[in-house]
Amino acid sequence: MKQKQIQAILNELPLLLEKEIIDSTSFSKMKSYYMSLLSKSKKNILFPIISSIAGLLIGSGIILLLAHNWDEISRSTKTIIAFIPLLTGQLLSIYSYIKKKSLAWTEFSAIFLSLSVGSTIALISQIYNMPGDMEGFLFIWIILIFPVIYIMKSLGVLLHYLVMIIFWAAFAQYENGQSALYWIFFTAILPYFYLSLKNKISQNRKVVISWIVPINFLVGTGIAIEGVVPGLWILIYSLMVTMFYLIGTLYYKKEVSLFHNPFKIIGITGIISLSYIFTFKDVWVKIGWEYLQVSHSYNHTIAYFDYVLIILLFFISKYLFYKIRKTKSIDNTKEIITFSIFPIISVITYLVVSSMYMYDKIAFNESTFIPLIIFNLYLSINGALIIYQGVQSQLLYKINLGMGILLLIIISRFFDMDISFTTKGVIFILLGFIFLFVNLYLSKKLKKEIS
Amino acid sequence: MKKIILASIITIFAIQIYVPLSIIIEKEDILKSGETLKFEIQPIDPYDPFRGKYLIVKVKNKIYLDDKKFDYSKFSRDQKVYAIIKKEKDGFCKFDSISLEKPKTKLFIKTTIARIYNYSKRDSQKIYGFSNSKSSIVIKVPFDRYYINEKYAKAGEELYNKFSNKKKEDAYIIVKLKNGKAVLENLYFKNVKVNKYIKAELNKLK
Repeated sequence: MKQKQIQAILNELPLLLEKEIIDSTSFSKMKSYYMSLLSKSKKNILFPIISSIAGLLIGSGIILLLAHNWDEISRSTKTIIAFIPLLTGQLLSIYSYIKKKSLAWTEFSAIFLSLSVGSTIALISQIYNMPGDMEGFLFIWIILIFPVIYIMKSLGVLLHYLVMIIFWAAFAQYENGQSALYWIFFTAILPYFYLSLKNKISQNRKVVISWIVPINFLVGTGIAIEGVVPGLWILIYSLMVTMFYLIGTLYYKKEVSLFHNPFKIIGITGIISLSYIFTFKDVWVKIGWEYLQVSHSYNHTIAYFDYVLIILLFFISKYLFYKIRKTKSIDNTKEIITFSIFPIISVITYLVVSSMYMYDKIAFNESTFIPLIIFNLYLSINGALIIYQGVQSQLLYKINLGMGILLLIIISRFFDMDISFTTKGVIFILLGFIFLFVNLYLSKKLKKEIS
Repeated sequence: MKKIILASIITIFAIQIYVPLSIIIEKEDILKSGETLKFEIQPIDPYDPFRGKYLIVKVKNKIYLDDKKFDYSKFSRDQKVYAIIKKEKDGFCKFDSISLEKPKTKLFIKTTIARIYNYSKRDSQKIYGFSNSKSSIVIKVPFDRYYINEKYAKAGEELYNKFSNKKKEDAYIIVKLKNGKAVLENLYFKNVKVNKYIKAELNKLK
């Protein structure tokens, strides 16, 4: 039971007593029961967080202390000292597992172990003056702590792991020119993600995991994409954010609060943000196979991961869409269709613009004009539909969101120097009249419904 | 089931110990039984010779190879190669050549190409005016830093800059080499280990 719900019941109890719905004995019993639930709920959140922070601080502190160069100590002694944090972390973890210790204890020992693995490798690098191969160092650290996520079921280690694979991808891209292994690292935690949501875990852990996993994928993809074919990110991200939206709609449909549905938030935010970005000309400049990257810094073999990713995202999204259509309890069809067609529009637009670049006769401005019209139209219709849905379901946040989208387009296009004043003027007046007619139509409809 | 999980945990923890331990065993083997090589140190950008807790150590890693005899087209950036080391009469070593196959000599390191400067084509010489430039390959050197106590940092930085511009005997590194792998054993100023030298210099100032 959530804290808010428990607090709501506790707040109601005096009212129930006053109205003599419950007697004073029942009131006392119910109050002490829900108070104990409330403090247990707080403990469930508080202790793992505090112990995780404790593990992080102690582990980091030991790393910092041990990082100080001890040139008075012999190499063999330094080597022995280097293993102390690692062995301590392992012993704590085994003890925690055998004695079935609390979540707080498990988190502490797991994070301590995770950090001590890094400290041991770092110290050895220092003792033997090893070169600063950050990519190699992070790679070993990632491989060694990965199993700890599964055996200790630690959220802290999962978070640590996800942060490290992003850093690894960045260093690998910089040092080696590619970071395709990121996909393997990310996929490796998906079974843990799936099992965590399938098994009974606390609501807080579910929410945290549901936020960090898609955000990590969003960021990691941006680093790992090879981009041999320019503009492929348009397809990848369009499919990705739509997939997130569909996951949120299908698997988190029971969540009342939007905050507890990170996939849906990220999905909708992503679709709207990308639609807005796609209304700018620069996105569509020199994209497609006509502008294939040939310099040695682009790896054509690794680029196959990009193509495989697009195909995977497409089929996963397709599967999710059809599963949603079959689910009777999900009835916001208009919203689902509006958001689900986004990647289709992106793919078609990308293909059209890329094809146009093949023909030298087509001027640069003409080929990029098409996506501007398409996405301005899509975003405007989306914004208007969201307002309409907000009015229908009386959800203020939807009305505000829709208004916000329309305002953003209006302001952006008003100041857009690429469109002539005459064109802008005509379009704005036309749109204004359309809104006026829609308003008149809706108010007539509302009057009929009331009468 | 619990026994299986416990066995898996112990196996994973054993791997966590084995990986750093194997690095130590390898490095110790090189230090104890590897060939001793002396490399002259090069001046570096004085802006940041000391980064954090280590001193950046630079050795000559640019190998000039006659483009009339050496086929540069076979090589590319980030390619794995063998860098052959030559010991000169004065006892100092330098990187002399590169090979794609493992050389017969014991004096080589496994490394990768950092950059290639290929002026072998006449057209490029005319266009860029590099007619007198010699083609060369820059390799990544697996010993580029020396970890030093933070209290000796500033002195170490100044001495490095001072000695790297002088005679090669004033400052050099000792590297141990075995089976293409190298470990930087120590940095020397005037034939004294860097930490001892700096300590002595700081004591003189007191």
